[in-house]
Amino acid sequence: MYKLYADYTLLETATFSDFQIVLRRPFNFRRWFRPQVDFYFDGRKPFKPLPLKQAYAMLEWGLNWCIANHAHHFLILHSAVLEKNGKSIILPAPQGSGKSTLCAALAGKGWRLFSDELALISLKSGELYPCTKPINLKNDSINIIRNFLPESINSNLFCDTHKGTVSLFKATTASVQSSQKISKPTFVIFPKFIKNSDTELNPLSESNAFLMLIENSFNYDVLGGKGFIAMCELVKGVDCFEFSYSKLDEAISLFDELVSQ
Amino acid sequence: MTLLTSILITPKGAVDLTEADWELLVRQARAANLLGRLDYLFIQNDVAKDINQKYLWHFNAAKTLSDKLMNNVLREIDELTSALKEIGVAPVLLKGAAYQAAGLPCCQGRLMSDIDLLVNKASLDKVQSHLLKFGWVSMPIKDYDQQYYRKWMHEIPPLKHATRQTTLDVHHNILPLTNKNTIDASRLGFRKVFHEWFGEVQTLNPLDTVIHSSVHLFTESEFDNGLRDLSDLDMLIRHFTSTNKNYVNELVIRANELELADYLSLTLRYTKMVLNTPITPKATSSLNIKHQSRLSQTFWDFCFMNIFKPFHSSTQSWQMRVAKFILYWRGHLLRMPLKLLIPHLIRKSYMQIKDMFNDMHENKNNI
Repeated sequence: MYKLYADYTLLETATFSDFQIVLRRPFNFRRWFRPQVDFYFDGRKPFKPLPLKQAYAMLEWGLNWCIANHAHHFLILHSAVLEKNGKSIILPAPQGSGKSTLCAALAGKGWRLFSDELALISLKSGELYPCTKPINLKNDSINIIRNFLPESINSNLFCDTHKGTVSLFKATTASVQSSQKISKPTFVIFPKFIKNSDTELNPLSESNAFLMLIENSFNYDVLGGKGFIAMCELVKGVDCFEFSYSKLDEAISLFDELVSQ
Repeated sequence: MTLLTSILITPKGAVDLTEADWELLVRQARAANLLGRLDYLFIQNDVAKDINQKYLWHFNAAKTLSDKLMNNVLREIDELTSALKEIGVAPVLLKGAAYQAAGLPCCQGRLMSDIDLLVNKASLDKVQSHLLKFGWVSMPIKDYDQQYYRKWMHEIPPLKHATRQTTLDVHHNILPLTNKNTIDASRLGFRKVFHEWFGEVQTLNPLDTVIHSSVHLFTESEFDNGLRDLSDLDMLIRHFTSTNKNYVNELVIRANELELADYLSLTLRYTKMVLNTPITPKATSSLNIKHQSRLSQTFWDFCFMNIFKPFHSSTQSWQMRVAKFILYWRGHLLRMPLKLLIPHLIRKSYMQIKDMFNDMHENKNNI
């Protein structure tokens, strides 16, 4: 964990923190026998315990859960967010679409990482807030990124989790250092990894994008009218595309070109 | 006094809090499910604008969530009342749903998802079978529990909507039939309230609303939301007093009449002690309750003053654990006399142990 969070500064004691999280081995026989770990959020246990070996992965999932379930001053999308040249791209997608792989590849090639999981869009200003944390990669993506970015730093492998094998990749120092810098969204791109496909970017109508974004939202239903307005503003303010790819380097050069115009 | 209760009493005090205080207040308020309520109180007291956004968003966000749950509840009330109209039943809304239909301030920022209805006991079967047509199904329940509910309790086992997942408790009384103070439900006083979503619905009248909520809170055996419920009572009393100066006196007369003065006396005592509700000693003096020795008064004060706190590591103490233990048993004993309670608890523990072994067996098979 120290490896992955090396670029962050620790809060002084008595500084306000949004969420207080504790991971602790239970005080029962599962402390020793096939040891488990409990996740506490402000003193409550929202999840069932996991095997002790998955403690760090649990911390990251738990943190995302805390944000997605409480930060209702944002419209929250299940999405990766990255920025380059002052232009930011929202990559919303359900699990298994290759969103995180693409996100890790872009982040390794000079893009600033906002988040691999959560797009936080301010209800007041419509701006994107970074939530820079290590990138969660699963199964085949782990080796793809290791080969693609040999210099990247990642955690141990967590095997047999509910998401399969998982490893967390360190966010770049530059991304972490500028994690207070907000940005206006420029593009919404729905990525899809399709084996052996060409790299293809197709425009998407506002209305279709709107519906697809709702499906990828964590709290659209919670926000009610405020969510509807924020979503309208978002779709009106950006260009929307569907994107299919199979080769990471082609994908990256296309994205680079998009933000250099 | 905890930080949370002091801010509930004087929301304006929030402007003087230090960073470390905010750290604690957010934790305590979250533990007590009172973040959303504080958001409402900050706005009411015109202090929200002076609070740093980095703290305030926690309260705003909880209020946003509570607003959404409130809308869900209103929608369910609409569905339920129109469904029951078809069979000529006009249900009486209780607790959260009633606060909301009547637009009472204590529904603001309250996180709720369950709905409580009161219907005539004779129409229970009809109501349940009709609601089934609208997707309200019984949750899986053991035969023994089913029988327990039907025979002793004041409600049927909870129903759940098959697609919307809302939980519905259908009551036919406000106290279990085995409680020694149980009353004839037909003596309760109702009133009609109007809501733009579904027109007129019935709730308890202002006096019986507070009496019911008192009975409900002070027959509990678990107080996870104890402080929240006490704060509801505080806000109800303040609200009704604001339009009727004689409200608390009328409340006392009504509780005496229903022979539920014991419960009301606890409400009046602890809302005042914990949340400084404006109640004069003169008003409470005519409560028709048995005189308590100083020793027993001290004992119950110890229990309740330790339970009406946020359940958070900053307030945990041996006193709170003792209070929890005592009030757990108090709640059970109020619900039913010992001669029923002991066989019931033995049966329940046996069922729990059996379930545990079954689970272990299943786990083993899965591995």
